[in-house]
Amino acid sequence: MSKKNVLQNITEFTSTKKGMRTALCTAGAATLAGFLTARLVKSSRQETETQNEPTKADLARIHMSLLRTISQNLYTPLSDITGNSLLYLENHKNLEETENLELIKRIHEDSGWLANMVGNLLAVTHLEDMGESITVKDEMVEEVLGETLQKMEKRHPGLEVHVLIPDDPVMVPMDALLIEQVLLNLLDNSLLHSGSEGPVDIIVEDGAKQVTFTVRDYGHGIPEEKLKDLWVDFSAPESLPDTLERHGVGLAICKTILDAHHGTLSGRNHGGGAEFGFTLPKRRP
Amino acid sequence: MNAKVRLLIIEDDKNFRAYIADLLGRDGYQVFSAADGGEGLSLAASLCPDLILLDLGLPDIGGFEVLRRLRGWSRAPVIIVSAHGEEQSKVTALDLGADDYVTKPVYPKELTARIRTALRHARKSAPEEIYRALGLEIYFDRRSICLEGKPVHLTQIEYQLLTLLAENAGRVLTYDAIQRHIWGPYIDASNQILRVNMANIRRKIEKNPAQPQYLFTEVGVGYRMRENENE
Repeated sequence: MSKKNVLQNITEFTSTKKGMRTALCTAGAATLAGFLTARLVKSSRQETETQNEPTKADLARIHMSLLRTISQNLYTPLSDITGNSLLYLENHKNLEETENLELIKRIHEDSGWLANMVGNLLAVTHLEDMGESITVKDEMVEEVLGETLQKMEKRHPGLEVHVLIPDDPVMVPMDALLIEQVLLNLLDNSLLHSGSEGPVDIIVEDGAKQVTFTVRDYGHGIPEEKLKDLWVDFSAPESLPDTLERHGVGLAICKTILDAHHGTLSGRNHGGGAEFGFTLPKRRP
Repeated sequence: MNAKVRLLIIEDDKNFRAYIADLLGRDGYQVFSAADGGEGLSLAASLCPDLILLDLGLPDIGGFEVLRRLRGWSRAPVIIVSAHGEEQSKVTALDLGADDYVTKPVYPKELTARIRTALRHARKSAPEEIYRALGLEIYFDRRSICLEGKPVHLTQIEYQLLTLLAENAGRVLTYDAIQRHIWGPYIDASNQILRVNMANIRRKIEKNPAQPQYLFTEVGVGYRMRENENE
């Protein structure tokens, strides 16, 4: 097939399938929103049992605000892709080689981000399929880490990560694909958005009751005002910002996945950058 | 003159077909494409391609059924193109006789490596005598393993595991296939013994077991060893 044909295909694709893609996006977002609403409302209810149960109207409102934020999160990079690719298609002959390259790089970056976001959506539908209790299996930590880093390397060749694990193999019950998604989100944040100078560290510690994972970067750290609410609290819709920063949704997914594992998630500054830690219990709950 | 290697891609997404045709055409392959299972099966029968790329989510006949029918008469290597997170379908497809799989998004280097490996294994008449990649060397006839020129000592089971993976370097082997080969059909299904042995081998040949250079894990599916540079 000639190059011209390939490009024609792409143009055709962008014009005919754009609507469909947007629809798909919204459907995905709706799944995620519905699920997170159910989970988060439930957990906030457990914490504040004395307070009134949320009414149907509250739930609908939460659902709507979630739907809006997540759709925005998918729609923004998608429209950047559409814009940048059109720019290339219509002007590539008049643009410098470096400018063309820059356009393609941006498209590549946005599509990588979208792929991870869709990974998040799939992780959530997977959680939903399993209902209240997820199915965990004993997994070897180094294998899960190894595969995650390979996936990262494929997406972003040449990224440097330092990994420190205990000498003896560590087994923890988990849903490996979900924990990989947690690691991918944390690595995405620290490798791509933290402005880290030097490689990111991943440290695994084997405790008596739990295994602790730490992802540490050497970037600009978490801004003071964000430390309190690291992930979006979807159960308090009145506090939801109009537009979410991209990493907010990723962390909310991490939190949801770890809750389902009876694990914990935390984030702090360590002086020279940010550090996110999560734990997984060693006994099956 | 060498005839071009002929590949058939069976995939319903038009843009993905165009991408594959463009990518592999550049690599010197002759690429044919089919948009659904029916067309794929009839093209496979008339063209007798050297390798088939098969998407599992086809609109008419399911990918598994296409694979089953193909395997009724064809031994051409089949590489599955699978969507994110379909571990169980990957295992099913491998059990049905697929040779390997790639997951979307498909990265050019990864796909061409898988294709080279599958074609090589299909052509191979005699087993390799030496495995060599980075600093690792395995001499199958002498039963010896060297890392950076120094001998590595493995237990009997570890040696069997490593050589099985090295003989199939570049291709995924499922937990089940490995276990049946080493321990026979009556091993329990938890993979625990296999994984402990793999962890031990990693400690003997990898600098960092969590950043392996030779033995890669495909969680929920099996293991894959780095391609043999000696072939």
